[in-house]
Amino acid sequence: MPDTGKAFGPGDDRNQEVPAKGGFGGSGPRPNRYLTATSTMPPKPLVTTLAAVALAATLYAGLRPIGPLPPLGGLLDPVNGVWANAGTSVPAASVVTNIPGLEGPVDVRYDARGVPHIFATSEEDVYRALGYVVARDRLFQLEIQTRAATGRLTELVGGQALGADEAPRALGMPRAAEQKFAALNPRGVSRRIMDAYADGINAYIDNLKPKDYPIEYKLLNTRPERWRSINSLHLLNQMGLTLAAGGPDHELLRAAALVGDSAAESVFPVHTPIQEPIQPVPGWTGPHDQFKQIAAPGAPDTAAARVASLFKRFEGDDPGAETHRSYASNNWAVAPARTKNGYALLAGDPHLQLTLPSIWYEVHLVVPGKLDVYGVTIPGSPGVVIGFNRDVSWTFTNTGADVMDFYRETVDDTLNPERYLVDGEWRKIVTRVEQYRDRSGAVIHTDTMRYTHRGPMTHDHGEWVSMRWTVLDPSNEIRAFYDASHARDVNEFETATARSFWAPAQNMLAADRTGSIAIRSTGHFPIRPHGETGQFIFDGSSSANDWTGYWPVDKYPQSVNPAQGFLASANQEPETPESQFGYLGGDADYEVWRALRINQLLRKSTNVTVDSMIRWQTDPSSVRADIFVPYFLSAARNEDSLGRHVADLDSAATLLGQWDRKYTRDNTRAVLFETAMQQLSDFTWDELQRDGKRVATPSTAVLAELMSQPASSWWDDRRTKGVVEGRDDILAKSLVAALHIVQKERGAPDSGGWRWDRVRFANIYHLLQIPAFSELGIPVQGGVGTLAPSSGSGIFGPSWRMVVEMGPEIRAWGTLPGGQSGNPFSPRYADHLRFWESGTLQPLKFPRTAAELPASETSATLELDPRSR
Amino acid sequence: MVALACAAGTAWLGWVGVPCVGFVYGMLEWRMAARGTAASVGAVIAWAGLLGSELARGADVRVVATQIGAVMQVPGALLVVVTLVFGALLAGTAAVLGAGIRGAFARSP
Repeated sequence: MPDTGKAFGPGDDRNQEVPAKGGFGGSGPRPNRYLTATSTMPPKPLVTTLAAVALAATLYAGLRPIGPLPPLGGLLDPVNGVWANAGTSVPAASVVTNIPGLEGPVDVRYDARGVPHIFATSEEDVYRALGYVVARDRLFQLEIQTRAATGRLTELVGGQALGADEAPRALGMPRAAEQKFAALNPRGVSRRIMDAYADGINAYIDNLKPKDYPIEYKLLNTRPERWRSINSLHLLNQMGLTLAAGGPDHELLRAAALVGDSAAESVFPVHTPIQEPIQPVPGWTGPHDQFKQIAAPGAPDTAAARVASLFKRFEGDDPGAETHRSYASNNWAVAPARTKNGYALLAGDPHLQLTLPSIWYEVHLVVPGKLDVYGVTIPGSPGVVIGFNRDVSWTFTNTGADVMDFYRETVDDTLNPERYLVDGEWRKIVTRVEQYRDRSGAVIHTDTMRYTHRGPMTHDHGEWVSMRWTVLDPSNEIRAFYDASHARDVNEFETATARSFWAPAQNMLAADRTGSIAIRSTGHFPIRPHGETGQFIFDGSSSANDWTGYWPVDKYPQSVNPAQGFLASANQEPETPESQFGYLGGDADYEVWRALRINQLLRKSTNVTVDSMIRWQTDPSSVRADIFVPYFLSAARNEDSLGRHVADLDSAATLLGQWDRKYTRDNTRAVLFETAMQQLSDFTWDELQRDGKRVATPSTAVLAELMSQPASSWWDDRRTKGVVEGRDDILAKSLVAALHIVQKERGAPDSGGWRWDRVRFANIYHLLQIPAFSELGIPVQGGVGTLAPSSGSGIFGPSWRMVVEMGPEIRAWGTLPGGQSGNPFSPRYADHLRFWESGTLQPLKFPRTAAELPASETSATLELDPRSR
Repeated sequence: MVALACAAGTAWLGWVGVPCVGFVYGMLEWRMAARGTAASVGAVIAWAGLLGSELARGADVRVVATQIGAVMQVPGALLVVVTLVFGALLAGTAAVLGAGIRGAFARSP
């Protein structure tokens, strides 16, 4: 045996050692090939066991989520995981592929802004291609928005989303979409383009490899779901929920529960006390105050209190704030006689929740001889919503109509009703079982929804209440957008939309190349019985309380080519009270300040240019400040004149008086005013508090109305015993309180902390609220009531800005607060944001043919070829 | 060779290819010293190479590292390290396990 100093032989599992003498070149035996200088025995059982445990643990981390983290394996895989998304951040410069069902070749050219210009030979093909490109850029957005609209988020993220999922189902939205879908003619235009759109989306999904899934799917450890045509209707219902849910009913009832009906109706009036209606009024050269005596707070109405509790689901997180009127928009059009170039001009900026990716997706659709339309689409819905073709441009603002009513139902069994009473006869309640599933598909919750002929029922505080809502009615908004895109003048546009567009009601402004401008508040406006306003709960046991029909179209608020030469809507009341056909809505859903400002600008401008239209969209002036600042200053002077010299009041008034009333980024006084306005609301509306929290806030227009009544008992702050305040007392108190607050939070007035760009920001969150994928803290020009409003959390704002010149050749400019791509790693994810932030609009390319978009301006191409596999 | 096999395994089977390669490697080189380390190093080289090839193709791996790192509340560079360590663990432990099982069969009468 080699003298190794150790014994070895079969079964000996100690490490083998090399020969002690001679080595390999020496005189010892030739070494076994397994007994080389580097060979050892296999690992000991303990080591093997530890390795097995370690491997099992690593595999577990790779396959199963741990806490909030998705399985690490799929996430960190360098080929298929998140790293692969680095490679898909910029789509290939040139792609050729096919969509099943394609009738002919489709040429898609992406311009320098990432906007796809789709040139097809048939309209169905253009919508197929639209579906494909939207899926390519916004796949996750398509899915999550659909799930939100149908109440299926729990299938993606688990039980934590149950509350969010219950809301649309309780409102009957998924059922209504199913009914609308079933009512569509399968060979009709709407179904065909919805189906074509779905084909395009699914063609993209079907060819997607796991490594190419959008990052959100990898983080959520899931995969894309195939698209169904009906999803487009779900998304439009969601828009209805965003813009046409609620109404003044619940605020009025909550107020009545505290101060009585008379006072509540005074501070939540049907008509706005400052009138600057959308429809021009002959002879009016400015706004008109229609102030009425505001009834003093009275005894609580206990009946209203009980009914108000039934509207708990419509209580926002901050019902006490002005900001709940955030879903707002602007549009205005100027006739040729008032423009410098002699062409009609149109501007529009819808204000919605700001998200990344944007709620809108820009696109240009061309089918020679049939269709040539540019604008923004809602990802998931085929058709341009806001935009222009070769003859007409259009844009919308929300009407804010009250299109939701409630009925207290008499049922046969309070706990499990099966019938409800109408006109002395029992009718059967329709039931629908709603199942909520988790990620694995297991049912985690079940609800039984009940429906009367009016709509879905809810059960609160022992009462069964049903809801009638125009969003749930059979309608065909997709047809409306399709027809609008083919309109050749404003008349055809307004006719097309009135025919099929029911909800959410929009003030639809249009301008055409002949120089015509027109606006119509379009949507189905219910006719309530007996001239009722719909602000209260109806007795459901009588069919006499049901809606008797809808306004005839010729009674909709509308105007064509007004003598004043311009039209503007900014969510103000559409018509004067005297002009309205019936009850349209309440002051609580209107806002007057932006309308006042844009009308101010338009009235004094007779040589309007594109530049001025663009500049006005971010105009920093505020009529609200113009009205309220003098009141604050006057109150301070009054205190002085009464010998009640308060040093802090003098300081605050001096500082406020230095402000030019513009919400520019570098101004250092708007913060004092805004804080004073918040204090003013708190002190004035103290009667509308319950448990220390304000439950309803009248509009600032009503507050302005109250300003004209300095001795109103509303001014008295009931919390100050033995003191009865008047208007100026409260104004002075608010201003001093504001000074103290701002100094405490932000330091001395000119220390830099008061700058508006350190106070007011836009916050644009990713759809999953992931901060790393969001753009937060963007300083903005504008504040409450300015044309580019910003308030509260900063998550609402202009979601698209557009200006169009209707000359012989259409010229247009636009921008989004984001980009075309939904991929957070893409350079196109937020590349337009800097333009939006600065109030700049980019020229929009509008080529008639693909050849008109030169290669130098084409960033990528996509060929959809039916022969390609 | 281990690195190439790990890279190919990842491309073919995804991340689960790495422990498969590691296990097979351990079975083949069951008497080799530091087989686990060799497999781990091979996996690190493979995955680093795959990430590097993405970078070479113009993909902005750094952006992904920074943003996903922010999502997971770790520095972007640490995310890269975690990725490579994950691959190393998969390969190394599988290799040792493979060698141990192979060795157990070899020891059996």
